[in-house]
Amino acid sequence: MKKYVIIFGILMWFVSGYSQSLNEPNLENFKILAEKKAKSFSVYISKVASKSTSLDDKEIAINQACRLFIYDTVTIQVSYCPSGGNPTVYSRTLIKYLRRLSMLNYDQITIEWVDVVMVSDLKKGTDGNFYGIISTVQRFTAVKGEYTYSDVTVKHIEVVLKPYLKPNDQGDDEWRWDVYLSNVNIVEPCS
Amino acid sequence: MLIRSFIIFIFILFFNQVSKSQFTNNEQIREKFNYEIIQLDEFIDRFNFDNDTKLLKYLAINYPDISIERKGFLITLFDNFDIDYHESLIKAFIDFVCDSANPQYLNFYDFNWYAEVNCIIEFNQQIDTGKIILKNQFNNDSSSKWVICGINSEILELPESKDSLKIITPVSHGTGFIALYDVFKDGANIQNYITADYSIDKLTYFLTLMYYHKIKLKQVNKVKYHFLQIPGWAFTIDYYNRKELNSGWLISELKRMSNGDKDKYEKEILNIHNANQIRKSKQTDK
Repeated sequence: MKKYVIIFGILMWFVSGYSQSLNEPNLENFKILAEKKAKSFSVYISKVASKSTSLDDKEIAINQACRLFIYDTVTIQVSYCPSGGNPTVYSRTLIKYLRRLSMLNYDQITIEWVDVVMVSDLKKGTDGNFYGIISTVQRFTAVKGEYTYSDVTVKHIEVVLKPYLKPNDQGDDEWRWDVYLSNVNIVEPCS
Repeated sequence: MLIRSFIIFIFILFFNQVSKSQFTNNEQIREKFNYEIIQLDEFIDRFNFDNDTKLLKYLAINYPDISIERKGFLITLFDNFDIDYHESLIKAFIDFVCDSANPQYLNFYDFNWYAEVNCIIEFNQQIDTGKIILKNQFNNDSSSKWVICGINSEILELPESKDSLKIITPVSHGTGFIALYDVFKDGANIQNYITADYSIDKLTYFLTLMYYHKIKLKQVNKVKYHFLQIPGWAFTIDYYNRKELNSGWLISELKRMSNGDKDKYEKEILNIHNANQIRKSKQTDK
């Protein structure tokens, strides 16, 4: 009997320790952090696209932008509405999207995020992570000689709040939460 | 009171009808961004007249003297350009939703609402459009996920038989159903060998093809949502990608609908697998 009591005690200790380490995250704080990460992404893509950024600095900005995302293979989807034609959708991995952006053939490129807003609360998935959407409106201007191209697009960025293990000062693993950017969907207004 | 409501209605309608063919400055871009219902969650918040919606925040900052009521605000959720306008129907719907004794709200975790994904799929080198129906399935701990609950595509229809004379003869039992060997080689006439009261379970067929990597998703064209949870009513919302302020996720169709009609709608229009069982379990849960 005593043996079972000890086993039960050990089990309870594990369970309580596990549940303590998996505290529910403060969603409001992570919403703010997610918006900050999205704004950082806008700084990096602006740097990647800019003609005044050196190739080395572009590479650094690409790596820094990728670190904001849960994987560098997330999908960046771009929809294009040609005048009089049907909308076309392109999907690229994040890394390919950024490299393509760094090589756009214009004399001058300006990318500006006019507004950023978290439009949905973080929702709990059945996998234990939390998910939300950040929407931004972007103004893109590119100049080549006398020609100026400009568009305004809305981007929807999926946000993932995910737990991870990190050693504390005593060397024990502790569960912590961090927020990452994920798949991006871009919608160009069709007139 | 009526005059006040009317003024609010005119205010909202005016701002919704303003056309912005060109965005010349950031203030105009910001205005458009705040008016457009850019996400489904935002549609739900606006329907519920939640103070957290970006449009209400924007109006509070830029037009602090204007008072807005839910009734006037709900009008902005309708597509003002393409909808087959029945003002009396819309008014009756808004009156029902805003009934002070029993106001109606939408919740992301409601039963009875579905996403319809219109896409292009490829099977056996044949390309066709398809509709995948999804619902949000949630647990007691409020975690949830989207799950597929219906599918429709001509690709998933069984082909008509080519030769009606090919059958399993009425004396096949006499030979221990040896004829089944031939049936297994005769896919072209498969309809001849199936019971007349059988209707194909497309979802199982689709999942089998998916499991064996026989079917490919080529492109998602369009998403639409079907809301059936407001008693006596059903509506759909579509995404209107245009430069006017009346854009984004807007009500594209509104209908009065009884519970019986909703069952039929789920089964016949949305092709939801086990639609009746789903409604039964919903009633038990509530």
